[in-house]
Amino acid sequence: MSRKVVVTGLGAITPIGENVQETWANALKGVSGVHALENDWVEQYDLAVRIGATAPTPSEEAVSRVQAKRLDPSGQFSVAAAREAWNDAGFSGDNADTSDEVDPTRVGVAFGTGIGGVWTLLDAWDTMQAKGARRVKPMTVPMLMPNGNASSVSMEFKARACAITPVSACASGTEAFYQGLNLIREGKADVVIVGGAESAIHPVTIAAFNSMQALSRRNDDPQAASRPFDIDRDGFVMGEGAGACILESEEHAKLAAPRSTPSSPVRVSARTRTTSRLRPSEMRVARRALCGSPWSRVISSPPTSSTSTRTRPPRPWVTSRRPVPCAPRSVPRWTTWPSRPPSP
Amino acid sequence: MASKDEILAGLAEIVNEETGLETEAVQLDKSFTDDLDIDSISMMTIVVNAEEKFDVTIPDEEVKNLKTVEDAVNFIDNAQA
Repeated sequence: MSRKVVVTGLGAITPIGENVQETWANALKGVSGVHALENDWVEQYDLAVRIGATAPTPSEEAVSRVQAKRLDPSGQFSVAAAREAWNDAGFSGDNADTSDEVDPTRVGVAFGTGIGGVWTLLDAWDTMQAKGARRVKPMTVPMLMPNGNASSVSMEFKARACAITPVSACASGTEAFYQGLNLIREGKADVVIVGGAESAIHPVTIAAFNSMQALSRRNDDPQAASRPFDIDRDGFVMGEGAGACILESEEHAKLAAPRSTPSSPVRVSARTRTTSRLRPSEMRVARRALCGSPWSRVISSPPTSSTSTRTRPPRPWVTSRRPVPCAPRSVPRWTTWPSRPPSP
Repeated sequence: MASKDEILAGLAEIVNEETGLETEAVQLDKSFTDDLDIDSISMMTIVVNAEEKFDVTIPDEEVKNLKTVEDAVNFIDNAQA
């Protein structure tokens, strides 16, 4: 657990940007990715929630036409974000096989998702109802399975150390980061492509989340919806996209330098002053996750989930009340973990 | 009912959609696996799409016998009859 881990590449495709630079710039400007959904099915099913945060379709440079047909939308987002992160890390080739700096057997993937290929599954159900079982496509299973995203990324980048898929609801991407961190700390990989992806803005998922009272119903004011940590929060907004990082052991990153577009290691910080409090069980998990990292010395109260769902008032048995040093007035509403701005 | 030439052209379009191979590469004497490098899942996708396009049924046990493009064209031609 003593190996230091650094972030050497970032990638993102989000409702507010096609890449990290655009996403970060829009986040700083306070741009919201939430808008009224114009799909026919909103009216067809008379949905109570009519807003969402859709992401742009990945460019053909990131995901080819043939590739797109074999990937669920969440898989397409995964590959696009991972591609940007890989390029940002400055490796000399398009994948681990063609990059001199890396050994493909020492490159791993940890890519999380909360739901997986729900569009693929429900499209297949529609096809079966309309045309019969014989017309269900053979690629349906690889596209819908939750580990499809990690599999696609590992095949795209010839990463042969492992391909793992944390599935832990909204924390799936964060857990993937943690799993990648541990793979390097434990010496099982030198480079890990970590990330999270989702594409589940479907009438069924909207109806289901709305049924459990989890979604914001600010249909008349979409840009004001999704307000994590705000006292007036009324639920989250269905969004989609992917984020990815390249994690490397510090020694590997130094040995592999210089590269064509070297990136500075990112110092991940948690500088959020939250209005919510962690339960003792949540604090235990957070402290265990940070065990052995320099963060554990500076974080007294890690950020809570930023899903903006309504919760009960803080309980009297909260363990940590100390404010986190350097707390800013606010953080971009689309993220829990502020990171560095992209390199120019 | 499609002619053999039309079946070949239709198959070439399906292969192009599934694999990105140029339609000109799909010739009668080409092997799906050895020449066109088509894996088993792609082959099944091509079969499903061909069934829909030509309104025929290609039984699963018959797929292993479709080694070349010509095998597929002939099977579809006979199945249409």
